[in-house]
Amino acid sequence: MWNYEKRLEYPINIKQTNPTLAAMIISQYGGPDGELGASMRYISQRYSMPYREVAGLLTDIGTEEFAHRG
Amino acid sequence: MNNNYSGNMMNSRNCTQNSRGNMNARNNMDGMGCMNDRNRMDGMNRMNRMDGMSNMNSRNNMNRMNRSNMGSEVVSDKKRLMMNVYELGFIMTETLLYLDTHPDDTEALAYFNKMKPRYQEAVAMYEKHCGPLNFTSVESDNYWTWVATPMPWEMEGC
Repeated sequence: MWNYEKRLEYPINIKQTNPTLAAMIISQYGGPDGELGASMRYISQRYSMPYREVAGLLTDIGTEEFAHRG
Repeated sequence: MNNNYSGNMMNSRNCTQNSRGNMNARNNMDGMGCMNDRNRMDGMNRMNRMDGMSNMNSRNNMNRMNRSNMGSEVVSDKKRLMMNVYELGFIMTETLLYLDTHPDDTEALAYFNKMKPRYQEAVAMYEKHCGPLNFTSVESDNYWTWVATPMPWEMEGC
């Protein structure tokens, strides 16, 4: 179960539009090495993690990776 | 219900039709300055600085005074509220990850217990002036403010 906190993790200040840069950034969100994939890997790996502390850590890191999406 | 941020709700609705109107506010936020500020300090300095952030109430009084004066001061004061949430949120997250693998570190636990109420106070203060960070914080009985305030990437919350 996840909840949304309506803020970014780090301040941004968009001064101008840039479609080329936007395409690169959006691939960092959902592309092959993006935040979505990273969060899914952590969240999936925790199911087979034998160490309880690390299973908890994987949950929190996976949550953190997903939070990078804003 | 505190309606301090009702003006922002209107800005938010205008935002999709007239994003130009928000640019001034966005520039006022001066996010880049914040980043430089952060990069200059190492982690420990930042945490020590949070220790000095003792009295949120005096901050609140300052906010009320500013509100009755110039608009730009209100913006910078709200920016400060957001920065408190950023910095204390960062502290909470990093302490959480450390404690996951060091559950018996009493020093870290003491630090977590010390910072938690400060984080909660910073969130409460921000929500009072800028709108809800969590949907459970919505207290209005005449308008659902959760979706009325700006999305985080539209401006810095305020």
